[in-house]
Amino acid sequence: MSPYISPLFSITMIMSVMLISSSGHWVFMWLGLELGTLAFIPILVWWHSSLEVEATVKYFIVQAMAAAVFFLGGMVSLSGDFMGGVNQLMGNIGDMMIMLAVVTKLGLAPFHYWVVDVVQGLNYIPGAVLLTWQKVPGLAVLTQLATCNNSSMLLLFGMVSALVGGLGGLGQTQMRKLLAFSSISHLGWLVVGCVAGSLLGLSYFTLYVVLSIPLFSILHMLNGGHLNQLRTGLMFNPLMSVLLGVGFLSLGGLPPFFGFFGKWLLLTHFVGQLLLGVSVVLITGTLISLFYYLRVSYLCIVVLGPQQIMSGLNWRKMQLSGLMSGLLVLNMLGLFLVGGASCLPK
Amino acid sequence: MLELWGVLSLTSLGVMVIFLFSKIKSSFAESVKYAGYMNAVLLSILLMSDESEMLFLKWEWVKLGGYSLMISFRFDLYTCCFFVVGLYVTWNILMFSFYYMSTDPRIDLFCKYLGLFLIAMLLLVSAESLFQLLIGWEGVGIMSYLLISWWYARSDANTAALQAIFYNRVGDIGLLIMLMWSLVTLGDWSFTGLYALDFVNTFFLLGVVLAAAGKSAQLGLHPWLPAAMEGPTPVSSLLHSSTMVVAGVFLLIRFSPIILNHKEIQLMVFFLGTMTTLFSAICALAQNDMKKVVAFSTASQLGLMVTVVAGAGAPQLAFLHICMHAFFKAMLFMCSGGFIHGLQNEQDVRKMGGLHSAAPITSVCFFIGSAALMGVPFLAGFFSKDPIIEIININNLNSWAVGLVLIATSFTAAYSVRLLYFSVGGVSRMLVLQPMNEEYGNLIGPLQRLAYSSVIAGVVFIYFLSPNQISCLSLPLSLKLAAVFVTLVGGLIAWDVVNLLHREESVTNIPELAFEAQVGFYPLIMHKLIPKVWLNMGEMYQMQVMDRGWTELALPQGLGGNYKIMADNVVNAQTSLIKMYIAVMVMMGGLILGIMICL
Repeated sequence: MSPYISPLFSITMIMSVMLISSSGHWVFMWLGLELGTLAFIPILVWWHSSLEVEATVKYFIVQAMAAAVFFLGGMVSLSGDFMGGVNQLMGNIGDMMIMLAVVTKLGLAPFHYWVVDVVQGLNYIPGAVLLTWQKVPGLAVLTQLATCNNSSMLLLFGMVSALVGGLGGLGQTQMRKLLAFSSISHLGWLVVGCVAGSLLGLSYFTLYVVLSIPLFSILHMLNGGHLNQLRTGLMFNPLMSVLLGVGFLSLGGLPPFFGFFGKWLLLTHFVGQLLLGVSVVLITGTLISLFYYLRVSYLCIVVLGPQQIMSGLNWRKMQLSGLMSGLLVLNMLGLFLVGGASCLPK
Repeated sequence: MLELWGVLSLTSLGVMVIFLFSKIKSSFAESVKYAGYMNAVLLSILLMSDESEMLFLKWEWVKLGGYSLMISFRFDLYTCCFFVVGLYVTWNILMFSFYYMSTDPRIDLFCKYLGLFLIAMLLLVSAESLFQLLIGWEGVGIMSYLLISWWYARSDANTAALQAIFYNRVGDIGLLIMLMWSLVTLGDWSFTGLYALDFVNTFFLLGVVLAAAGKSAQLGLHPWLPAAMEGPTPVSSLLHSSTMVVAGVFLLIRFSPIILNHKEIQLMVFFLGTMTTLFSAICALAQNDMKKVVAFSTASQLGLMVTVVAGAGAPQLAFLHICMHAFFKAMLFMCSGGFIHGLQNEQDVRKMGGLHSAAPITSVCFFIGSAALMGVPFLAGFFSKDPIIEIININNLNSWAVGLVLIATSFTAAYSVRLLYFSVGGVSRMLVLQPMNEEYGNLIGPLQRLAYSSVIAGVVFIYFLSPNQISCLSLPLSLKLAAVFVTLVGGLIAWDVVNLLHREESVTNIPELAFEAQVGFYPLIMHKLIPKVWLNMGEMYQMQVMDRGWTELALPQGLGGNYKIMADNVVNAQTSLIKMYIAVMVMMGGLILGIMICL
């Protein structure tokens, strides 16, 4: 595909989010969601490999179905009364259908099956876009939908997501599936954060994006699809391998790193709003997922792969030092960033 | 004038600290000496000045919202006196260690450690706030650990150092209790603030007692003190005379105005002190290690100081005894060090004897020190010990405890005489061809200086450290002479008994001696039996039943297994079939909508 056309898709994806976040009516939200999906699909099949095509088809089918349900939900709610504005239509079945459709598009827990398969089929870069930027339209709708009527349902989805994300990754050896489950787990936190306060959700999402994009990039560079391939990273590119391990620990939410402070911020607000049971379930899910984060970090940092006796560590290779130092600084300076975020209104 | 000299003496101490970093060890010793002279001038000016009895030098260090942490030095009579004594004794010990440690490759570092030890102690003594006291207190603890384990290749030295730090750590809990209580209740750590209290808190005072008992090796927390003999002799000398062990007594002296307002605590400290003094004296009777005898005599004297600080309510006397004790105890240790060094590291008194002809000057100093320790009239020990016993005799707290003190006093004479008999007197039992030699300026000089001060210091110090209680000056003759009498009796009996035991046909295997030689079986019980019981319980119940048994089964194994089952379910749902996914999603969505409609 011609590279000159990719800006068109990117700009369309950005425009779709702006359309959603600036509109108050469900039709334009639907339009924005569809625009975003359609603009993203050509990017997914960029290299035309069979795996990519399969993943793209799966993605398209699920998104189309969700869009149909969304439209149906809109029509149903429109038929209930004719006041039109989404915010006035809570509590009835049409609204719930819209919410289910959005949840499906996001890939929240009971509707998460497609995420793992699609991410497994894709390269790291489109996978990263799928797990980060493509969540923005859905979340933009969800923050406008989240009110008292369906918030308990969203909390439930969030808890199930955290648990499923934790449990699903336990036995995984494929890096991309692992990242997909990790994303599901974080999405659980994110949705609960959105319910507790939209700014909280926003800050947590920012944190997740900022943490995961460098990881995807490094994995793309190391080109390791399987967990075992990470072991060789320490031989060929030690700095990057170590940073990958540290980044995963941060993603898992281990205290000295940046990822922990995001979870801390959210937990503070959850406890403040008396979401105690939810907090416990979320922490449990994260604790389970920490196991596989630790395993990845262990392979990245501690274990040396099979090697020639005479070959030493290659400490001089400093590719992409900007990216690496960015990740490192990010993980170390988490405290300062969160210090700003904690000034958010509670 | 007073302020000026206070600043000058502080400056001299600062110069001493700077010289601590110099490469030439003798220049540090010189700086200690001149700091001692400066402080002697300060002391005399303090004594001459009428208008102010005390001098504070302070500045604000940290200001934390409403609470300010001051660095302040409390220059009262105790501080100034102790500075003079401590610096003088340490100077002599430093000179002595040039002789004793001359073959040690790390002698420079050793002298620096001794200097740091002294500085920590001076900080402790001059502290005005509890926080500063804590710094000195912990500094003394750390330096004692480093110095006792100086010969780190010996496992005994390491064990002894660990004992010192563990037992002191128990005592430090008391100091932390004091700090916490005063911070929470008063918000102030200064002594002036604590003295101004009109109520007495038992909790706080128990912390004081615990801290003092740990540092000053009172009964229960005492085993580290004899064990600390594993360090080099200069270390023992410094540790037992002017640093470390007197820190606990000094803490009690500082808090004596508060302790004396609390009858129960006062009685408790009284008992603690008397029991310690008697127990240590008993243990000293049967020791064969020369340094151990001197160490137990230190413990016994410490018990006496603690007794008088609380029991008799005369902290001035306790402080006087600290000063006197510093002179003659440092000298006793140096003499033992001279003997031990001359006999090629032989410490057993049974292999000495007749040293009076081999090392006459050391022997004479050893005799003077022992006599001062016994309280022979008009030597240094007499001026502090005799009033102490008199004042304990006339107090009406507890006659049993008074009796214990008298017995311990007679035992002091007994073990001193025994030690003199075995080491200095009698016939030689040492191996032939020992390089016993006194031709070292760094051995004889410090010994002579301390011997002079052991003779005259009492006469000088009694002028300005006389007790406030006038009652001990007018006593019936029987009480007045009690101390001298029991000392005389103890010494004579000991002389006879030792003579008796020294014959070939005499019975040597006396079962009662085992209690004394094994120092009351306390280390055996505390370091062997109780840890064994705990370790066995830990092995049986915690390790086998819990850690490798039920908790292992329930938590790591059980949780892991359960999570594996759940994770398998989650992963098995990923069938890669889009048909299945959509079916499941539709069913799930329908279910949720159905529930919503029904509700």
